[in-house]
Amino acid sequence: MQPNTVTTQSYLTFRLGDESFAAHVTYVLEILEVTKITRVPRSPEYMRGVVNLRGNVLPVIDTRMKFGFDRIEDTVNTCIIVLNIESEKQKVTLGALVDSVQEVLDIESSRIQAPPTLGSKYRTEFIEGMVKEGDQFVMILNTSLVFSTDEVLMLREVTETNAVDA
Amino acid sequence: MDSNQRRFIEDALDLLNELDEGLLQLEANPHARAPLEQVFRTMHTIKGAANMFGFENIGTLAHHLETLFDYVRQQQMQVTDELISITLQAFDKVRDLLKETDIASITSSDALNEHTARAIEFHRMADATLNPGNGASALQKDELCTFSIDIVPTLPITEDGNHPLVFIIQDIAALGTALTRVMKDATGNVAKWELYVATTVSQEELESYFIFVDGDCTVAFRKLASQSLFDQPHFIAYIQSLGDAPADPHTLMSWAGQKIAAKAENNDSTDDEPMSSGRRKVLNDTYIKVNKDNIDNLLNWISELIILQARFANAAAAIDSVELKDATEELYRVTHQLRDTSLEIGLVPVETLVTKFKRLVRDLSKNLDKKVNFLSEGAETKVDKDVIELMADPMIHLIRNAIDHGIEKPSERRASGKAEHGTVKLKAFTAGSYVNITISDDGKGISKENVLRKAVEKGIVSKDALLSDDEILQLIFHSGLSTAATVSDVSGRGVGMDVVKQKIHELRGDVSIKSFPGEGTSVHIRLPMSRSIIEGLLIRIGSSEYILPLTAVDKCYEVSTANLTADHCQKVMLDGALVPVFYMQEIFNERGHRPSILQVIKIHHDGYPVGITVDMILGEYQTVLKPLGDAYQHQEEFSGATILGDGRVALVFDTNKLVKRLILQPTV
Repeated sequence: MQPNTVTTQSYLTFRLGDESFAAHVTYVLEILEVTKITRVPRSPEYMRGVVNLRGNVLPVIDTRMKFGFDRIEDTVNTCIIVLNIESEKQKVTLGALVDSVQEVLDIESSRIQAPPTLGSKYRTEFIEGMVKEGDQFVMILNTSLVFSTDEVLMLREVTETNAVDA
Repeated sequence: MDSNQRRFIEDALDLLNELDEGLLQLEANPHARAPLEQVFRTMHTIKGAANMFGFENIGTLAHHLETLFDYVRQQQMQVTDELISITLQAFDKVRDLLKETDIASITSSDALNEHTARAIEFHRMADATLNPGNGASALQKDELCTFSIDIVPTLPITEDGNHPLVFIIQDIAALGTALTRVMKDATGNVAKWELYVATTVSQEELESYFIFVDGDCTVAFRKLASQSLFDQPHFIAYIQSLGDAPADPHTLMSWAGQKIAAKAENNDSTDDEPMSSGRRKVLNDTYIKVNKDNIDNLLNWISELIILQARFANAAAAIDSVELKDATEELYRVTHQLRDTSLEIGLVPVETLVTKFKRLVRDLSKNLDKKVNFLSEGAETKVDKDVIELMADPMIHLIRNAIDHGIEKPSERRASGKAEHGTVKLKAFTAGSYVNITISDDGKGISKENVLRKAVEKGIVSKDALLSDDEILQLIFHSGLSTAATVSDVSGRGVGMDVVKQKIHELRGDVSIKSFPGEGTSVHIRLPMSRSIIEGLLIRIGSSEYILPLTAVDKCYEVSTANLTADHCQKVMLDGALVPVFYMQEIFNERGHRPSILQVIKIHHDGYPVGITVDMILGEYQTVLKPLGDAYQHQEEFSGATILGDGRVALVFDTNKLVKRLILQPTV
């Protein structure tokens, strides 16, 4: 008899710049190569535009911009992760443009640490937890919250702003 | 509520519409057998199904009303206005009840008490009057006959002219079930009318209609059959197959004779089972109910197939193979055929609204003490189901307006030399991928002076503004003015003309109004046949392609880029008039290379011309509109997006919202 059952969860990890993030696989529908993205004039800058997903129109979010990173040119590794987000009682399908997709990780729940509350550059409600993978920390995103909010997350400057607010 | 009960409610709502239609026909033609049978049958079906699925209250009501109509069938009672009215009102209540969401309130035994009591009371009174004569007073029933009447005018008369003959023909058509064919000569005047009418009115009486126009035409009567030929689809098909050719009297007579023989045989075989109508059976066999989502799904896949086919054709063009070329062409043909066929699945005839309108006209004209005929033409014209549903309220409003404000009281009409019966006419026809609907009346028309005075009072236009007649009429659609003109309890409630216009615009349609004092008003609506199919110009602005709906496009011009300033909005001379032109490349922040000559597309917004600049016009494009989704809900100027042949996405403009937005915040 085992007193503790080990639960593992699967996460898709991706990179923005030199940082790694993870989204729970239940949200992920598929991964697309970048095709021509049609810009929608006069929309927020982090909204990259729309692409054709098998005959339907898929809005694409530039995750770099959304997270407050600088904009860079797309590379061969740039991908669109198609996410299914449930927000405010409705389902939204959207694409998240990321620098590169890494792998699907099975992570034991016991390994997931609470996000640090102090000295972090990330606002805690957007991070569900973090896990050490090799020599790097992977941020596990609160995916539905991150992509359903209208605001630019400004992950970079968060600590400063928080400090000012406090 | 279980699924059977839900099914019952859906079916019952359909049946109630059929019942309405039958009752109205019966009212117009109280001795006609066919509508009576239909009404009786429909009630019986409702009763049976209601009792089976636990709607005993509805079953009881239907039972009592059915008894009344059974009396009529056995010729112990006549169809009266009162009978029709209590029946209509009772089933209106049932209809309201069925629209409730919780089953308890639908089946509540009290809900229909009032109407059931009235039916019983009516029954009791009928019994009381019947008993003395003990049923021996079987009423004299005029025979229902089908006549063909050929009318050849000896004067030049136009179809929509004011000659009394035109109204006489309409009056006769209103006596029963009728079909009118008009043959015109080279000058557009009427050469001959062929009128087919099934009615209980005798031939002598029909002839008396023509006494006053004796010198103006020659009339030939022919009695085709001692029954209505209009229950026979073959008869109608034959008449319709004639096109412009005159009907051959011999064929018609002999043909009609044959059909009667056939019908008689038919009667024999169905006599054992009087409750099952041939017509309903046909309906059940040829139609199936399909969930709208399934159809949308199908259309999505087909539009995907079309995009794939275009990609395939592109790729195949690079390979030199006759075999492949043939297959590609065949694929093109099949996919487009498939698209057209599947688009048609979602279309329903305007007819579904017509019964509703007939009821409205009947009730309203009774309320207002006016005599109104409602005519519909082209009711078989097909429109997207969504469009029909969204247009129902606006059209009801227009018809209401026509009766309330347009048609005069009978005394007034007599005084101004018009027939006592006013006419409200709904005409629908298809042109390209658009459906045109005209609602017209022959009432007193809109008083332009009144409209202008109101508009000035409300500060919508300045006192010394010079407006053309058309511009004054357009003011009717202004939100500040719509309900105010003359408020009565009929119009003034529900939607205003501004809402009518807004609804039509939401459907990417157009509306215009014409009115002549003393002659009447007509409102013309143009709608895309389908909400999801859009016909537009494919244009390029900067680095992206867009679709501009063709309805909004007036004309295209070329303008040298050097002549434009960098301003977002500027006046440009087009066809001798200064038109405000929006510099879209600037507005959309397209900083790239600009061609030396830009195209200016003149679109119309609220009747005023506005220009927008584009880099290039790539051609006409018919395509499927896809929603942009919540992520872009603030980008109102786009009604959606579409997938181009090469798989890229092009945004589709909503020109009304675009212009509105450009005017309000040109610099954003």
